[in-house]
Amino acid sequence: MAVSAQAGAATVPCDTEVARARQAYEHHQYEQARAAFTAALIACGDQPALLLALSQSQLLSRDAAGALATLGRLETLGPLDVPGLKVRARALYVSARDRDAELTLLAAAARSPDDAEIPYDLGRIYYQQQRHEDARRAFERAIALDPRAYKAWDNLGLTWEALGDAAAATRHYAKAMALSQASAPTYDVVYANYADLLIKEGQYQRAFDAAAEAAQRNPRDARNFLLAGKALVRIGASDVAVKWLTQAATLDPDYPEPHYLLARLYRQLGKPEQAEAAMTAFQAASARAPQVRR
Amino acid sequence: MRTGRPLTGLAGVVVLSASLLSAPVGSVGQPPPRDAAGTAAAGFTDITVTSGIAFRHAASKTSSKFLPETMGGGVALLDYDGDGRLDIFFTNGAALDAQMASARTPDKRQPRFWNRLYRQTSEGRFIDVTETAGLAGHRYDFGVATGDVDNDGHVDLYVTGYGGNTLYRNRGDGTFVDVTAAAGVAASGWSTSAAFVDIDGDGWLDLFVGRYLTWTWEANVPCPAADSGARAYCHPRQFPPISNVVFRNNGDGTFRDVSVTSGVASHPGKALGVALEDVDDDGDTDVFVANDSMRQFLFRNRGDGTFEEVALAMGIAFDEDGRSFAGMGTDFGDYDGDGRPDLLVTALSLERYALFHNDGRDGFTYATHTSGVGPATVRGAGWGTRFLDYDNDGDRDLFVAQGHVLDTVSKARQGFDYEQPLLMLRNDRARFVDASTMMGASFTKPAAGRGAAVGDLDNDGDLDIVVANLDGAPAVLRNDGLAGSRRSLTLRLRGTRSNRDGIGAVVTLSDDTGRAQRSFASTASSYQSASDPRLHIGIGAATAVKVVVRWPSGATQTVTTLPASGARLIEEPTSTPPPPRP
Repeated sequence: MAVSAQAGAATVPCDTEVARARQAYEHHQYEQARAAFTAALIACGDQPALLLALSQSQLLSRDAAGALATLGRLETLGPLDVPGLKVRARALYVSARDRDAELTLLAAAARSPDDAEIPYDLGRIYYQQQRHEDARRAFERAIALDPRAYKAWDNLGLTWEALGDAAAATRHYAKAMALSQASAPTYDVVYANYADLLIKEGQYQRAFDAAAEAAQRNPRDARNFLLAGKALVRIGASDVAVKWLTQAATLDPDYPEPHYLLARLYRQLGKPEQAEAAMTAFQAASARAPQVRR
Repeated sequence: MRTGRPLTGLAGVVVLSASLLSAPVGSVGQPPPRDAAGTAAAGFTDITVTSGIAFRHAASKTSSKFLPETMGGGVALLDYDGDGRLDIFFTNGAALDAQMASARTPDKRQPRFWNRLYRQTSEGRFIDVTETAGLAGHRYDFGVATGDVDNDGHVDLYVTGYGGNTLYRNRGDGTFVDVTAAAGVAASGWSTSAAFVDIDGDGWLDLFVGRYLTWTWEANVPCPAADSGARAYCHPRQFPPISNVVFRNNGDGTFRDVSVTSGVASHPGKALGVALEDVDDDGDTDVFVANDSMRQFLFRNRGDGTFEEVALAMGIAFDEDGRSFAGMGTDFGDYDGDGRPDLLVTALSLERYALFHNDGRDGFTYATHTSGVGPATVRGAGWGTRFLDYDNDGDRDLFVAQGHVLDTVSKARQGFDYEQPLLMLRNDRARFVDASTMMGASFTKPAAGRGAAVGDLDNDGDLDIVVANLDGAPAVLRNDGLAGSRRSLTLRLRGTRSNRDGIGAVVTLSDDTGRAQRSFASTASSYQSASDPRLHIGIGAATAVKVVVRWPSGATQTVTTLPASGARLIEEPTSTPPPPRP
């Protein structure tokens, strides 16, 4: 509907489009939200709040380039505020432009030093760059600003793991789990991270329990099923492991790891044809998979 | 000519040692310190300077950050003059400048760029004999392999480099002659680790040459560091892979390039490390190749002169999740005493070194985390490595020379250092414990470690280590530790129908506790280096009761008359017909 707010008679269509977009966004239907916000902008004209919302929808629907373009459009209306800078930084990070993302966040932090999300996002960049001491400090800063920031606790656990302190990692994962229990019952990532650590430590049954919890919280993430399957392989429950790994491969065909584990498992189970098929799928997925998942 | 030369005074199948096996105990530097109870204090002593080693590796670093500058050199421990004492050979770089081009050859004329051979004297000092020996070299060199290619009893040298390799035949009079052209083993491109191996069991050592990348000076594009944008060494993904080379020994001083017919050429890779073992226990030698940041290779020897690449099927091409890693140094060793060779591949920081447990017919299982190797290697970047029983307690520990590939890493990544300390992982019932801090001051000194070789330099029954550090002095580390209070056997093989040094033999030593230790005769493995050809087997307080040797010829020999401790020469019987191959 090409009726604009400037036309005077467009109040209803503009509001309708905005409401539709907001509803899609709140239901995590980011592709639909992106389309709806685009329509809303056509209906309502370039409004800063709508442009920011569109850029967020684009980012969450994995269109980082689109998000950056929309933020550029927003910037023509005036300098980006802190929320705009945060979205830009995340889009830059997803685009592997870490240095630009870092500078953007530092600019945001200068304007909003008590915003816990900013050091959290900085920590993620530093972690990705293997600047683990910087990452640790950034996540600790985020926690100091918001002690209930369960994602910061989770990521601080990951950072401690990278720093070689599994005990500290475990403590921070536990805190993140406790915090997310009430405020974010669907948050699965910390359970997956903890499962990964437990597998490395040889605690396979506990690893499976954690991965299964992650899968229950988020049955759409292939990693949760991969980790559960991997733990089951180590436990020796091969037949059950096949099911979990197959589910992981189904959820994300571009994820090479489940195919690899399946190939190894089928070989051990004396199923060479399935092993060969899984290895072929692994090689195809490896060729497609991004070098770094962000 | 194939040797038929008898060993003076060595008539029996099992004979007391001569030559290398009879050198005075503790002859390198000072004797190890002992505590009041007579037990040697733990640790290694750096005797580089006191023993006379003045060599410094010269990488010739430039502002262009040419990749060869950071790959370092290798070291070989060999008894080139047959006096019973290990000598030391180091490879070295050559003069570079920022405008290098394919039309220009790196200049090796200045003595500081020469490869170096040090002869060990009877007093345990090392004398530079490079010029006399004729081993200064021609190129920017990287690796070294040792083996007796003509079975004349004198160990020969193969030196790898950029732009070609060199085979030096040992004349037996303290000098070497460059026979590369006549032998036909120059190869081309950039070679790294190489290994002498009797691929076809004909009694002559063939040659497997690992090559790194398809790389030229002109292809060395600017690669900015992750953080600052300053120029850094490029990731190997910037350059195409290249196939490895196999030369078959014709037995007449010449070799034939069989890379294509053997099947090896059809697998281009990025080889840094090469290790040998009979992985499938079928009587011939298989070749593992550690590739940088791509899948690893295991060339299974079919026994008919061809290889099948089986790393993926065997579970050693990737880590446990199917992810590639930067394979650099590598070695086989049976760390859990189950009679099957396991595999270690060193990698970059955060990747953790890959330890693969050999499960037999099912292939290998990634055991990095369960073995304790993972936590101990998170921060390290490993190159030269060996399974070795440094404390003679009867199991295989792990040594790794470390140092990051990027000399800018500490600016780009916190907590990562370019120069890193040595790593010793002690085997505690098949779990590895980081024992580096107990190894003495030499293990706390950071350096840009690259090649590493292991051997009993002072013939005192424990294993010493030599590390080739990049752009600096090497580290000659004398073992002054607990090993001296425990027993060990040092076995030297003498092939008759097999190649003279028994390269490729599988040796199993059983002791009176029921323990059996498997060893594989090879000077290769590690990174660009060659170790002591003798087999060193620690037995603690036990008594060795039997040694079974499966020779590359197929002959199996059982030796039961063994000493409590010390060195032994085992000569392959000439009369027993070999059993049929499985």
